[in-house]
Amino acid sequence: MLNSPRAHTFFTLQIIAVVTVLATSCVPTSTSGLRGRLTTGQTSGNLNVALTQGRILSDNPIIISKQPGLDTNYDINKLTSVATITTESFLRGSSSCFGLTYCFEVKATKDSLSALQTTTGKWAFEASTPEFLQVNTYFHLNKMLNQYFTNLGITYAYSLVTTDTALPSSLFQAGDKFALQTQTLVAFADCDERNNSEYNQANESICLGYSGDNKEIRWAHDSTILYHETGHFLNRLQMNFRNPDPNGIKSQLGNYSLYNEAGAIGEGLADFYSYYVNNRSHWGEWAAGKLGASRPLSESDPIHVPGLSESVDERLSYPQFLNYDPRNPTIPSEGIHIAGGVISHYLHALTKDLQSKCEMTSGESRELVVYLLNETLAELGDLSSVGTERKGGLGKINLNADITLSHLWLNLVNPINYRSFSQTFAKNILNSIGDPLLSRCNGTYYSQDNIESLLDSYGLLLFKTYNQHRNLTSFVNINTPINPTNRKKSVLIAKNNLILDPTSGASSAFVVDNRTSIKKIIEDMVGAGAISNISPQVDTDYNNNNDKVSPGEIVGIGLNMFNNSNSTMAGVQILANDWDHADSTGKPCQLSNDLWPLESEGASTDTVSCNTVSEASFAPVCFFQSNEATATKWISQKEFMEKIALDPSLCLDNTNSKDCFIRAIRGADQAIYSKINPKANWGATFANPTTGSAAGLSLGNIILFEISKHIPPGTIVDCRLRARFTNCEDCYHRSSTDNNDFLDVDYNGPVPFKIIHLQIPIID
Amino acid sequence: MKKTFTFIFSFLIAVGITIYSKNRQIVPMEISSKNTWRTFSKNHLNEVYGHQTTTAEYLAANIPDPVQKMGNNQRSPSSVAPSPYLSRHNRKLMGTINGKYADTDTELEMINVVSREWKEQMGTDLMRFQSEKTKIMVREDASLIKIENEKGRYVEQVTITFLMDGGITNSFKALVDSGSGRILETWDKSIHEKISQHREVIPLPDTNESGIVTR
Repeated sequence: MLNSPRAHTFFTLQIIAVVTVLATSCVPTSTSGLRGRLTTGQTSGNLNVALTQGRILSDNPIIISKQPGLDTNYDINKLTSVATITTESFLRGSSSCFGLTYCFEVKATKDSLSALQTTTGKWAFEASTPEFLQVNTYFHLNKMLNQYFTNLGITYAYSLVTTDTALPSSLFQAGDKFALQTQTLVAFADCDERNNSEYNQANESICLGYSGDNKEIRWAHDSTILYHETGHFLNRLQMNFRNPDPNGIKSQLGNYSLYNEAGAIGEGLADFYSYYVNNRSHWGEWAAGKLGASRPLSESDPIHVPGLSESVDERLSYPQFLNYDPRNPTIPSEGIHIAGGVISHYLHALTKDLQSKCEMTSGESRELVVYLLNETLAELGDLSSVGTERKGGLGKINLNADITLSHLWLNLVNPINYRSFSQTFAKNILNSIGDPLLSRCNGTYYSQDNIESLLDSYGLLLFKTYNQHRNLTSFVNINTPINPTNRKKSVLIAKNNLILDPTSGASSAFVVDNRTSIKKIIEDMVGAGAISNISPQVDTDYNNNNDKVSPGEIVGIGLNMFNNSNSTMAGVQILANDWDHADSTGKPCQLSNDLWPLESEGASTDTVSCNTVSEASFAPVCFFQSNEATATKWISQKEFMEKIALDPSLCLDNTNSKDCFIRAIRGADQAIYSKINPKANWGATFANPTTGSAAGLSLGNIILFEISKHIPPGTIVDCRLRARFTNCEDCYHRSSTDNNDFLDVDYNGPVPFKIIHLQIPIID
Repeated sequence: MKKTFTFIFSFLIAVGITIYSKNRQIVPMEISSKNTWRTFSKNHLNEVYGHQTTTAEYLAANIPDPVQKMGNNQRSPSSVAPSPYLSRHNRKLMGTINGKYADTDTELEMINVVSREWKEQMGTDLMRFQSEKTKIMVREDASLIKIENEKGRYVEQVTITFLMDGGITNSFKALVDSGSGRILETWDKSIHEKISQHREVIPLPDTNESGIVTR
C-alpha cells in the first residue's frame, strides 16, 4: 500500500495530522495563564489552627511586645496570634471591585508564579518564613480595603442626599462593587528592596522590603508600613474617581520624590491611613523605627521636642515645622515625608476635635475624615474639569476639558498645595457636618469657627473664602468668606517680599554645569519619568564645569531666593514653563506688574493681545538681546533664529522654532523651595547649625535648561520667570473682587505671580 | 477501500486541525500585541538595542502578571464625561473630543503618521543618558488619537519600567507620539519610601561666576 508515492503522501499527511493534533492540544490556551502551571506556593500551613485560620501579627512587634527597644533577633513567633484569613485556597481578595475577578492578591516576590495557595485550608507558618509574610500582608490588606470600601459605600450613599458631591454616580455598581480598578493590586510581601517599600502605580503593585545586613527586619512584619503604602493606593483611587477612563491620563499627588507640597500632602495622608486602620498615632515603630525614621501623628507623642503639644499655640504648624525631623530637630531637612507631618497631625487633631465636639467615637471620626478626603481629592484631581456632580461644570477645576492642559495645570501651573488642599477640605467640612440643616454633629453642626480655628492652629488658614463657586462656575453664587478674626497664627505675606538675594555680592542664581552631576540628574529624572525628550542639539559632552552657561550644555539653574518679610515663607515655586506673555508674533509684552521691555527695546504694541490672557497662548520664558542698528532690542527666539539665518531643523525641537535656542526641560521646568526664613535666603534657612551651610541643592531646587550649540557666544538672554509661594497674600485671590480666587486661566498670565528676570550671558 | 478510508480520515483530521487553529486565533491582534513587553538596553559600544522582554527581566522588574487586567469593554462609562470612549479607526479618541470625529466620514487632519519605529525611537531616546546596567521595559497599553486644535495626532499609551543597577525599579505610564516616538505626557510614577538613603545633593558653589544678573 505504501509503495506508491500517493499512498506514501497520504500516509505522511495522516502522521502529520495526528502529531499536529496531539502537539496542539498540549499548548496552553490564552485563558489558562500562569495559574495553570502552579507548582510552587502550595503549602500546608498547619501550625495548630483551624480551617481558614492562620497566624498573624496583630500589630508590629514593638507594639505587641510593649518593648520599644525590642531586639531584631527576638523570636517573633511569640508575638503571633490566630486569626481568620480566608476561605479561598489562594491569598486573593475580592473586596469590592467591579469587573475584576479579584481586587488584590499577595505574593512573596517577583519570582512567585501566583498568590500563595494552601492545600489544607490553613495558613499558619513560622514567622520567619515568606509564607508568614504573605499571610500577614494579606490579613492586613484585606482588613484595610474592607474598611475603606465599607466607608466608600457610606460616603456614596451620603453623597446621594447632599447638595453637591464630587463622587460620580457611576462609581457604584451593582452587587456592592465599585468601578475603580482596572487592574488587580499585587502586594509583594518579601521584596528584595533594602530600606524601602514602594507603591508602583503604573503596574499596580506594592513592594515591602527589608532592613539589616542579614535582612533581620522584614517590613511585612510591620502592618503600618503596608497601611502607608496602601494609603498611596487609596489616594490614587480618590484622585481619579472622576477620571475613570482606563486608557486615560491619571492624577497623582506629587511627582516622584522631588519635593513639592502635593507630594508632602500625599505622604501625610498615607501616614494618616495607618491611624485610620489601627487607631494609633505613630507609624512604623518596627520597620522604620529601627532605622530611626518612624513618624508621629500627634504632638503628644513623646518623640517630639518640648514646646509641641496639643494646645492651640503649640501645634506642629505650617510653615514653621515643615522641615522639622523630630529625631534630628536641630537640622532642617527638606523632604516630602517630613513635611507631610503637618497634614497627618492636623487630620489626627481633627478626629480628636470631632470626638469632643460632635461626641463621635474614634472610629466614627476617622471614617468621617476619610469621607472628607474622598470628596476633596475627587474634586482636586478631576482632569475632566467638571469638579462636582451638581454644582460643577466644564472649567470648574484644572482649567478645562482638554486633558493634557488639565494635567499641566494640576501638576505645574496651579498645583495642589497646602492652601488649596486646606481650602477644599474645609469647604467639604462646611458642606457636611458644618451644615446646620444636616445636623450631623450630635444633633447640631460643626461650626465654621471650629473649622477655621483648628486650621489656623496648624497655620493652614491660608485662604480668605471657601471658593465654593470655583472659577465662577456655580449657578448659585455663594462663596462663604472666612471669619478674619480666626486667623491668628496663619500668616499671609505680600508677594513683593519674595526677591532675589539683595545682599551685596550675593549671586542671583547658581549654574550647575558639572558634567557628572548633570548626567546623573538626567539619568535619575528620566528613569523616574519626570523628564524626557532631551534635544539632540545638546549633550552633556559640552558641559565644561565652569559654572557658566555655554552653548550645547544642559545646565541646572538654582535661584538664590530671599524672603524680605518678617514671617516665614513656604512653598516657594519658580516656574519656567511657557506662558502667555508675548503677542501673537512672539514679541514680548509689557505687563501690568512688569514693565519690561520698553517699547524702544522691542516691546509689543499689540495691547489687545498683551492684555488678554488666553488659556491656549504660550510663549517661552527666554528672549534674546539683539543689537540693532539704532538700539538694543529684545526679540523672540524665532526672530533671532531668522536673524542669524539658522535652519529651523537645527532648533532644539525641529518642529518648533519658538524655543529654538534655550528652553526649560519639561518636567524640570520649576524649582521649589519648601521654606525660606524671614530676612534670609534658602541656603541660610537650611544651613546646618554646626557647619553653617546648607548641604546643597536637590533635584527639585533647580530648573534644567537646554542651551543650543548654535547660540553664538556672547549672546545675552533674558528669561522672564514667575514666582509665588503658598502663604501668599496676593497670589491666589483678588482683594478687589470680594477675595474671589483667581480663575484658572489667570495662572497662564502674570497677575498671580511675582516676575523675576534672569539675564544670562552665554559664554564660550 | 483502505485508500478511500485513509483519505477520508486524513481529510477529516486536516479539516479538524484547520477549524481548531482558526478558533484559537480569534484573539484580536490589538490585544495580542498589547500587554507584551519589549526591553531596551545598551551594549558596550553605547548602542541601544531592543528585544522581546525575557522572563528573567520581567520578574526582575517586579511586574505583576497582567492577566487580571480588565478589558475596556467591561467598564461602564462614567457619568463624568458625556462619551469618553469614542473611537476612530479602532483608536480611542482623547483630548478636546468632539463627537463628530467618531464618524470616519468627518475629515480630521492628522498632524503625524504612524511609524513602525516609534517604539524603537522612544527606547533609544530614553536610554540616551542611561548606563549600560539599566534596562527599560516597555509595554503597549492602547493606541489612541489625540485631538488638538481640531487636528488629530496618533499617540500610543505605554507602561515603562526602568530596571536600574542594584535592582531598583521605577515605573510610569506615558503618552507617546506614534510618529516620532517622543514622550508627550507621563503619569502614575512610582512612590518610594527610601528610608535612611542618602539624598542626592548638588553642592552650592563657593563663589558664583555665572554672570547671571537680575533686573
